[in-house]
Amino acid sequence: MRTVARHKLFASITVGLQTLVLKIADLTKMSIVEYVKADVSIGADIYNHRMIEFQTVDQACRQLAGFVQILDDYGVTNYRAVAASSVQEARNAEYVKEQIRIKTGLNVEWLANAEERFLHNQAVAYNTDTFSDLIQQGTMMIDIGSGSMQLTVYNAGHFIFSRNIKLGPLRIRELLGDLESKTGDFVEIMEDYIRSKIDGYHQFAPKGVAIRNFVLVGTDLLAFKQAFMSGSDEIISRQRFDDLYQHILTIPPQVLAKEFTLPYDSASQLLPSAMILKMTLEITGAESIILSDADLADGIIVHELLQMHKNILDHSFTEDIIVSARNISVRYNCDTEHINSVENFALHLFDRLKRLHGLNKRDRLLLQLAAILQDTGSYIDMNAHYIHSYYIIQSSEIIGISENERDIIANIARYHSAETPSSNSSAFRKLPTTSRLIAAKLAALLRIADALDDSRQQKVERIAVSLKNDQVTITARSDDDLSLEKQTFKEKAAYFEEVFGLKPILRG
Amino acid sequence: MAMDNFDREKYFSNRELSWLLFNERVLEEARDKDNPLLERIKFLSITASNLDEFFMVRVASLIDMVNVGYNKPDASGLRADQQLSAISAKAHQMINQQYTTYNRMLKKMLNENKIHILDIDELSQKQLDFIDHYFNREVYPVLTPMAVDSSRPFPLILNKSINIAAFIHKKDSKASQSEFVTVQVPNVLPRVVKLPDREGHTSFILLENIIRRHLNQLFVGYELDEASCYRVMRDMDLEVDEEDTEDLLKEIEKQLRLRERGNVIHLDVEAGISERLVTKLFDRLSVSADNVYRVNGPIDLTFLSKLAGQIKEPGDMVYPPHRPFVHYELLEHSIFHAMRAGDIFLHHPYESFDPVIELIRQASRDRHVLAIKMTLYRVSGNSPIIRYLEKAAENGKQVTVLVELKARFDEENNINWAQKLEKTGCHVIYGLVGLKTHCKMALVVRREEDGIKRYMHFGTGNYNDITAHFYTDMGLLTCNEQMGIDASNVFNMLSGYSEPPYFHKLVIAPLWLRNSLLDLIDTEIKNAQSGKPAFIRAKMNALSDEGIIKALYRASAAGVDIQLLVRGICCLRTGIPGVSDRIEVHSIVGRYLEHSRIYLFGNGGETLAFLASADLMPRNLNRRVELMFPIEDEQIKTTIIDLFDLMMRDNVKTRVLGSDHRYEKPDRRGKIPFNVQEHLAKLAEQRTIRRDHSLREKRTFTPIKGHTNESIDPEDE
Repeated sequence: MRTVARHKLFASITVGLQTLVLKIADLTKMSIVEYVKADVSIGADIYNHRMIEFQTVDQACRQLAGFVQILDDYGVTNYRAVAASSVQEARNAEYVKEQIRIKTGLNVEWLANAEERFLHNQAVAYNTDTFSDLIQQGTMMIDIGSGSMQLTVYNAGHFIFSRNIKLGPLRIRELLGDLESKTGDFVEIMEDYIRSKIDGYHQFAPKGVAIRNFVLVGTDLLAFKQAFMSGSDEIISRQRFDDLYQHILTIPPQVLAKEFTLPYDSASQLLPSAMILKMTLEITGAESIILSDADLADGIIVHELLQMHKNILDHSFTEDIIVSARNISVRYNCDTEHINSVENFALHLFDRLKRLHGLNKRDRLLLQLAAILQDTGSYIDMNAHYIHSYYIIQSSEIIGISENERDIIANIARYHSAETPSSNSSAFRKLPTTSRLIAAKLAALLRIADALDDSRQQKVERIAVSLKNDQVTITARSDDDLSLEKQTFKEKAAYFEEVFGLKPILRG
Repeated sequence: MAMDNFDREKYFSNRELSWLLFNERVLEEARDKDNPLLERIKFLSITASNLDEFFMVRVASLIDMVNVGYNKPDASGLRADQQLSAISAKAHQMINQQYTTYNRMLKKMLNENKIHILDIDELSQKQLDFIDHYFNREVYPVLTPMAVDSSRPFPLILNKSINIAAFIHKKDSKASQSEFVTVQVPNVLPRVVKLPDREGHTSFILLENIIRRHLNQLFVGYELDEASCYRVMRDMDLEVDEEDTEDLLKEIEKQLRLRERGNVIHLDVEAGISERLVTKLFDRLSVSADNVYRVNGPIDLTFLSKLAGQIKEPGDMVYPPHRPFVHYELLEHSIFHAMRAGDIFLHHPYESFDPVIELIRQASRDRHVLAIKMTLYRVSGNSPIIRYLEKAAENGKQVTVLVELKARFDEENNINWAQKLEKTGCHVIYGLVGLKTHCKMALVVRREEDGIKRYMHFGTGNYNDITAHFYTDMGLLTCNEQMGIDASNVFNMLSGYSEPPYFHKLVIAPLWLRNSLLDLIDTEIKNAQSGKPAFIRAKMNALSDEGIIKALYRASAAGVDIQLLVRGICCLRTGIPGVSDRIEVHSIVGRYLEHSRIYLFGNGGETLAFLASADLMPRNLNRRVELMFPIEDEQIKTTIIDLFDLMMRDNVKTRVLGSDHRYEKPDRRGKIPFNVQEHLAKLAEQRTIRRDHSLREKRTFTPIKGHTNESIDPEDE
C-alpha cells in the first residue's frame, strides 16, 4: 500500500472588527484551498459600548466553531488564529479570547498593530506581481481597516516609514452617526473630522519623496470595488475616482446600497472610506489607485511560507523592519556613526558567541534593533538617557514587531549602559520569564559592544572574538589609544560576567 | 415597436390559467387511447391530486389576497378576484371532463378488462356478506358519527377527508323532523377495498360505499332519509405560498396573524345530492357557490392510482418495462479514477442513477476521503444515499448534509431521517431563513498525492433514487478544480457564511442567476443585431418570470431564434408579431415527467451549455438557492445539444403553444411518429445490449491478465 505524501495544509483564522476569515492554504502548492468569511458586529459594539456584547461573542463563537469543522473537513491541524489589534480595544477583550478558547478550542493570539500591518504588507507584496517594480518609485500603501488606517511609504525600492492613524470608516460611522440626523452639513463635519486626523501626517511625512503610486489595501474592499471598479480591473484612475466620489457624496447610503447591490452596512461605510481616500490621495501625486485584496489571513499564510524558508518575495521585509528602526533613530538625532559601529560589534559578538547564549535569528534582529535605538533617549536628556530610550521605544511603532518583542528591545536599551535588571525593576518585571533572559543576555552583549566605542570616535576598526576554554577574548584592531575604551570595558564587563558567568577580556 | 417595453398585459398569460392548461395536457394522456389502460388511470389520478394541491396552495393564496384587499393585477392584468372566477370556471370544466373520462371511457374499459369498481347494488350475495363482515370487524370500531343541532355545533371537518352527510329521523316521527349528521370516512383504512370475485375478475368497492350501506347501524332508533359524500379543502395548514411577491407576503403574513384560518375554500359533493342537504352544507361550511363542485362519480379520484397498484399481473395494461443503461465501469472501479479521466454525464431515467449513489458509497469507505457534503431535498425515506452517509460518518468522515425541510407536504418524513443522520454524527444544516435550498449538489473532498481534490455531482433533480426512475433529469460528475472551489463556497454559504465575492464557474440563485441569464440573453441580442447567428434554446418545467420573459421578447424582436421546451406553466405568449414571432414553445407530457433544465446560448458560434436546478419562475430566481452549472466538456455539450434537438423533434407527446394560447399536438400527416422518451429508452437498451456483446467477445478472446495490478490500486479497497 502506498502512502499519500502529505501536502502541508495550513489555516489562518483572523478575527476582525467586521469579519471573521478562514483561509486554508496548501503550502506545498502555494494555493488557497478554502476561503470562508463571516460577518460580525464586534466593531460596532466596541465603538458604541467599548465592550463586545454577549450575543456578538456568542455568534462569533458559533461561526468560529464552524471554521473548526471546516478545518476537520480538510484534516487541517496546523493553524494560526489571530485577532486584529483593533479588537483588543474592547474592554472585555481578554474575556472574549478565553470564551473563544472554551467554546471552540481555538487559541487566538493578539496581534500588535505593527505586527498586523507588517503581515498585511507582506501579503500585498506577495499578491501584487509588480510590487518590487512599483516601489522603485515613491509608493504609498494605504490600508483602511474598520477602525484605523495605516500609511506605509516605499521609495527607491526601500521601505521609508509606516504610520498608524486611528481613523477608519466604521469608527467614523459609529462616532459621527448620531450627528447625521441632527445636522444639515454632515458631510462637512465628516470632512473636518477626517482632516483633523490626517493632518498630523505632515509631521511624519518623509521629505523629498514624490509619491507616484497609490495602493489601496483593506479587509473589506468589496463595497469599494463594487462601487468604483468596473469588472475585474485592479486599477482605477484618479479622474474616475473623483467623478464617482462627487456622485456618492450626494446619495444616501440606502440608495447606494441599491445602486451597487451592497449590503446597507457596507454602503454606509463607503462615503467615509472614499473621503479618507480622497484626502490621502491629495497628499500624493498618484494618478491612479491600485487595489489589492490581500488580507491579514493572506499575511499569516505568507509569513508561514517564509518561515518554511520559501523564497517567495523578492523584497526583504526584515530589511523594512531595520529601516523602520533607523528612521526612528534619525528622528531622535542619534549619532549614526556610533550606532553603526556598535551595531556591528554587537552582531559580531552575537554571531561568535552563539554557543554561549544559544539565541536565534529573531533574537539577533532584536539586538540589532536595540543597538539602533539605544540612544534615542539622549534626545530628551543625555543623563540617564537609557531611561528615556526605554519609553521612547515603548511608544514607537516599529513595523513587523510584536508588543512583546518591542518590550524586549526597550529593556535591552534600558539596561545597555548602566544598572542591572532585577526582579524589582518594574520595566523588567513586565516581561514574561523567557523574554527576561533574552533581554538580559542581549543587554549584556550590547553593553560591551557600546563600550568598544565609548569615545564615539570609531577608534576600533574591527574586532575578533574568540571563545576558548571558557574564556571570551575580544581583540580590538585600532591605530589609536584605547585607554578609555579599555577602562569602560572593564566596568561594563561586570554585567556580562553576571549574566554569562564568564569574564570577557579586551585585548588590543 | 422598437420602443416597446414588452410589458403589455396582452403579452402575458396568467400563471394559474397556464397551470390549468398543463393539467389539461396530463388529462389528455388519460384520454389517449395509445396509452395502456392502467397508465391512463394513473394519469387521471395525477390530474386529481395535482388539482387538489393547486387548490390548497394557489387558490388558497389568491383567496388570501382577496381577503386582505390586495388588488394589484398580475402581468396579464388580472386581479386576484378575476383570477379566482376564471379559475373556478376552468376548474369546473376540467373536473367535469375528469369524470366524463372516468365514467365514459376508463371505467368501461376496466370492465372490459375484468376490473370492476362496483356499487352496492351491483354486488353479489357473497360480496355483500364480505363487506358486511368487513364493516363490522374493521370499519365500525373506528367510526365517529356526529349529530349536529343547536346544542352540538358543526364539527371541524378534517381537511381533504371524505365525509358522509345524512339526514335521519326518529323511527316514530315524521321525516320532516329530520336531523343532520355527518360521519368521516376513516383515513386510517384503505379507501379501495378488494372484493372476492369470480376467477379472472378483480372487483373493488370504495370504503365510503361500505359505510353508507351500514349507516343506519350507527344511529340506532333512527331511520335514514338521505346520505351523500362530501369533501372540503381548507386554507388552514399551509404557509403563505412563496410564489407571491415580497410585499404581498408581508401583507398576508400580517393579516393572517389577525385572522383565524381554516376557512373552507373548496367543497366537493356528489352530483345526486339533494338541494336540502347541500344547502345545509353551504350553511354550515360557509362556502361560496363558486367553490362548490358537484362531481358525477366518486369524490377524489386519487384512489385510482391505489387501485392500479393492486392489479396483479397487469400485462399490457401498463408500460412495458425499460431497462436503464448502467455505467458498470463506474461501479466496478474507482469512481474517483474515472472522474479524474474526464467529466461524466448522466441522463436519467435512461441511464441509471447508480453512479451517483456509488460516488457516495465509495466516498464513505475510501480512506483518502476527508469530507462529504450534499444537499438533500425530498429524499426517499430509506434511500441508500442516507445509509451511505451514515456509514461515512461512522467511518470518521466529516459529513455535512443540508436538509431542506420546507418541501411541500413531506416535512415529517424529512425530519425523521435528518434526526437519524444527526445521531450518527453527520452535521445537519437546515438551510437559510427565507431561502429554500433547491440546488442539488454533492461534494467529496479527498486528500491525494498532489493535495486536496474535490469531486462533485451536480444535478437537475433531487437525490431520490425512486423518482430517478420516472423523472427525466441530467447530472454531471466532475472534479473540475474551479467548480470544486465554487461548490465548497456554496456549502459555506448555506452554512451561514458570507457569500464569496464571485464564483468561478457555477451560477447561483438568488444572488447571480437572474443577472447571468439576462447577460447571456443580452449577448444573443447583440450578436443578432450585428448580424451574427444568435439563438437561445432552453428546457424547463415552468416559465413565469416577467423579467426573463420580457428579455426573451426583446431577444425575439432583435432577431434571436428561441426554442423553449416548457413542460408546465408558461406565461410567455408565442406568435405576437414583432414581439414573440421567433419564439417556439413545446411542451412534452408523457410517460416520464420531464424535469431536466437545459439552457443553451448561441454565443456567436461557440455554444454555451448549462444545466440547472432552476426553472424560470420568480421563486426560483428570487427566493431559492439554485444552481446553474456550465458544461465544458465538448463531447458532453454535443450530447446535450443533440438531446435537445431530439426533444424538439418529438411529435407524439409534444404539444405546441399556438398564438391562440392553446396547446395543440403538431400535425403529423406524412411524418413518421417520433416519441422522444421511447426513443431514448430504446437507445439506452441498445447500448446495454451492445456493451454486453462486446464484453462477451472480449471475455472470449482476452486472457484475464493485466488487471492484476488493479487490486493494489489504493483506491480499490
